[in-house]
Amino acid sequence: MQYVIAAPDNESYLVRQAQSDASAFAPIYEFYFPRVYNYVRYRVHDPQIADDLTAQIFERTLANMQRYHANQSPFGAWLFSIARNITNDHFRAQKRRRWFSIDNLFNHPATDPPPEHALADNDQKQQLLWAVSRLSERERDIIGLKFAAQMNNRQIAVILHLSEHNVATILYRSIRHLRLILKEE
Amino acid sequence: MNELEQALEFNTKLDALQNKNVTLDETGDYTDLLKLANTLSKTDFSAGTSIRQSLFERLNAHNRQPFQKPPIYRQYPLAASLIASLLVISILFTLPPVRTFAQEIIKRLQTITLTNAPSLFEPYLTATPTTDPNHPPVESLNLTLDEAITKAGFTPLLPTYLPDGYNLTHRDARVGQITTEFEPAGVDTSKCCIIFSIMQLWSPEKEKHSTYKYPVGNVPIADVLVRNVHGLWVQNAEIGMTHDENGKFHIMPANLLTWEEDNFLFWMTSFDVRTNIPLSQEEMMKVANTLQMPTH
Repeated sequence: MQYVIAAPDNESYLVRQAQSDASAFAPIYEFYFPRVYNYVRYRVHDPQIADDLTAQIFERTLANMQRYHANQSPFGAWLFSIARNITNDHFRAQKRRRWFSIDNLFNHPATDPPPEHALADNDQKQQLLWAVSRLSERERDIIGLKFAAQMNNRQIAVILHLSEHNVATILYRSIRHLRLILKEE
Repeated sequence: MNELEQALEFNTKLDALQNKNVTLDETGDYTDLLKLANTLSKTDFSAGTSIRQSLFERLNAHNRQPFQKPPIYRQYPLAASLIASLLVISILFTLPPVRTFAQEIIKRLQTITLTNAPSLFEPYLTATPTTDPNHPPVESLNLTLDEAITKAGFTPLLPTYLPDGYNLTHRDARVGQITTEFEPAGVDTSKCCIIFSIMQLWSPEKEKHSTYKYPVGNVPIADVLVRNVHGLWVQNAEIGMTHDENGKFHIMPANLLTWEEDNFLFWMTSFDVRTNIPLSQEEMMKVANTLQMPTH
């Protein structure tokens, strides 16, 4: 028979402390940095833009720590809603820009094959990013939330305002689409 | 099978793979897709960025500045205290039960405050029993000491004394947190529950704030001296819950000993569903006093 024993959860404990003592933000940052960065990388092809957006996400998170309420959502879901908003704002700003820039080149589906001179260790990553960059924005978003943010389908459904079945179907299609792109390459 | 059914089957297999409940079946359906999903899940791009440290330093610089403007009550302290006093007096005279509530026992350590607020589980007690008592299992790992150290980022203190018959049965960890569980030998662990657990939580070194409130139900909270530091002892704390075969929830009263030491919060609990007599304060203090760094 199952049981639940309640104890101070480390994350909520640290989040509560970080709300009154910002130095407690360090372990939260260490835990979430790779997840947030990987999420942004799956959505934005250019590493420099990914750096910039990741910085914005953590700066906004820290600045808004006082506004976070644990009874409304888990901290991770709140953090990734900020990450999504900032990334979506970036794309909206890109769409408003009528002139061509180097940023646009990287933020639209790539047409060139991945660079062949990449080092062996980076080769698979580059190939994967190149293939992901050819997916639609929604497909990249859901892949980022599932595999970088490591959310389950129920959490993704809440963030995207979709049903769990919709999330499962879109995810399934996205992975099939990605495999097709990699095979074609 | 239509697309939705395929998608659901794929997602079920993906979740099992990600939760490490199964290994990838090289010959099964969706093998290619699952391999690709596994690659997406395991690939880490963050090692390739140089901003991790510089951003951390920038955020730290931000930390040295105040979070926000001083609240209005600090700008007009006299007016604020007058209004607050009037409000409190009016409430105390108009709502007698509030006076009882205002006497709520509250005990503090440096970073955590135990309160007599209703248990976290109270809402479940009046819930309609579910028709499916087989709730999804709580994700839990059983780690070796080395795995737990790697995962948590610190080495936990371990007891050299355990109550008669108890053995280590389970260890779980996440960043900054290690939980070790002990159960009596010879007990059928598939039936709930006789557990003694020690959780060690890392807390930051800087200035402490008693902001983290934790409800233990309407039971006495006593100050104790444990390992030469101030600790708290709670008998029959309402911090555990199980459900019967009909899906109805029940609180499992637990004895709780908690204290803070060298930037760690220790949270030691014992419960025994069969006898409702958890380990005594004397026994738990004895275990606490033998905690020490592992020798290996």
